[in-house]
Amino acid sequence: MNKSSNYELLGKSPEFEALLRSLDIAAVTDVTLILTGESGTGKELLAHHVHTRSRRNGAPFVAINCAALPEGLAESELFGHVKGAFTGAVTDNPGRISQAEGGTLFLDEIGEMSLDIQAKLLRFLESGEFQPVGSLKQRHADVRLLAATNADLRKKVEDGSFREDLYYRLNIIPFHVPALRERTGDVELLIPEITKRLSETYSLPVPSYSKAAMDCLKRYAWPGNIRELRNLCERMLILFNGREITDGNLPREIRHQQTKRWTFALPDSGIRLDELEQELLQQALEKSQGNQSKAARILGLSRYAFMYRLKKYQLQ
Amino acid sequence: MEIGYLGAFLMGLFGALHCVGMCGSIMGVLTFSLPVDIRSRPAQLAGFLSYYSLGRIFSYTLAGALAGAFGAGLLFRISPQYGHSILLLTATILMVAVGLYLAGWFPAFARIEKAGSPIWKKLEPLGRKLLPVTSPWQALLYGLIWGWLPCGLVYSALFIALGQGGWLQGGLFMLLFGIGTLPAVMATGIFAEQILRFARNPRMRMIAGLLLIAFALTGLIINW
Repeated sequence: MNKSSNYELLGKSPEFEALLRSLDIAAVTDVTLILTGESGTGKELLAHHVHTRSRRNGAPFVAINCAALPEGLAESELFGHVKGAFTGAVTDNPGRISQAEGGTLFLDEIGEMSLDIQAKLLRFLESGEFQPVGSLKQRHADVRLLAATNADLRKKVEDGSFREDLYYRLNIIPFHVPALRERTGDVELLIPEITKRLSETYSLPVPSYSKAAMDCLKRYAWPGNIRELRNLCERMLILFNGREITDGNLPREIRHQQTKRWTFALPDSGIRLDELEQELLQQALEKSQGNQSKAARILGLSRYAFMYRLKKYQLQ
Repeated sequence: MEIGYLGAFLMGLFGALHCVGMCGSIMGVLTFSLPVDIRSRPAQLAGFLSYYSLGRIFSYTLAGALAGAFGAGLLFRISPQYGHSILLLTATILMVAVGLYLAGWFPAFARIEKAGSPIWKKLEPLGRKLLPVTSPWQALLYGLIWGWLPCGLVYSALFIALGQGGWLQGGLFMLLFGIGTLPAVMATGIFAEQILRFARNPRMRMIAGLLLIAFALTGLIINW
């Protein structure tokens, strides 16, 4: 487990506790599970939690990030290879599946796995058998598979980048890991707890958060989830140890979240305002299917103001 | 019996959209952890799934009977004259709260689940011993334990069962509530992924929540 392992499983929100209860039940069985949810929500730690609560907890937990597997080495990494199978294969490599024998194999970001490896994984899932690179012998492994993804696998199936049969084989029981913003009351619980643990690691006095700062943090959407929260706590601890953090001390994207109503950012190279205005007028007309009153409402303009702009740019 | 047996059934039926979020995954796990020879025979599989649900609904009924008996005494002590009105109003408020929760407008309502955590912590280790399930008896016993899994919807229904007037009515109320949850939970055991996708659809949750609110308010207006 990495150093942040204890942080992600912290949480008292009903949404998170309900997930843990369901996973505790699932842990005892040997069923293949898939954890879905945004990046940074702690899927790997939850997979490890399932492993430690399972009957396989005496055997290894082997985690692989499929997105980080080098294209040419993925097969050998997963299924192993024999000496001389390819240039540089100077010794036998048992592969990650063999390393997980009797335990749990966790495939993170499974949506990023290549189609070729997907076919071999499917075969392993169905029969428990696999063939190391360069070997003529089939091997068997007793491994429980857990997978995770932040991608929409169904969409990947539709665009042909994920095998449909593997999708149905994996997606038997999906568990959705809630995003931090969906976890009622967890932000105010996690900030002091993570800060306290980090202060012990860094031997720094704990900073405090003013009410306004905490309110601002509670409203923030946390797109990076727990990972982002932890990074913020670390940054705030280093910068403001032993002092009070006010809302003015928070990063700009958190402070200005309320005044920022859309995500448009002015590029450094600048823009042509008249071109942008024409583009918005066109888009509003498309969205309203030519209905000018509706298009005007979409842009927050009166019908007269909208018509004036259409005429100005000679748009229809 | 202001929010009557039909209300209990509808609460279970609409609330099941909430159920499949958690119980649906559990049902899926329980289904796919059954031995392959059971899963490959539809009749046998249906039998096991029924035993799980039978046990779960029996636990609800038992809790409902206890709540009904306790509530009848409580009602008499609070106020024989206004007790029913107080309970009717409380039940309506709770049902509206469940509706708002289902619709996604009152997520904090889920905090009510914390009430059952101490019981679940004692029962969960017993449940672990029953898994993997290989016999109908194990399925029934597991269902009995599963019935005590912390759930805001069940607790709301139990609170309404308090005002049903006695152990029999309270038990019957929770029995019908449990039957209402059957379609979604049973179907999730077989079509887990499709049902979960449907249940997470915000529009479906909103419609179910609004229907429940409309039902609760109608009940209040008719019976006040």
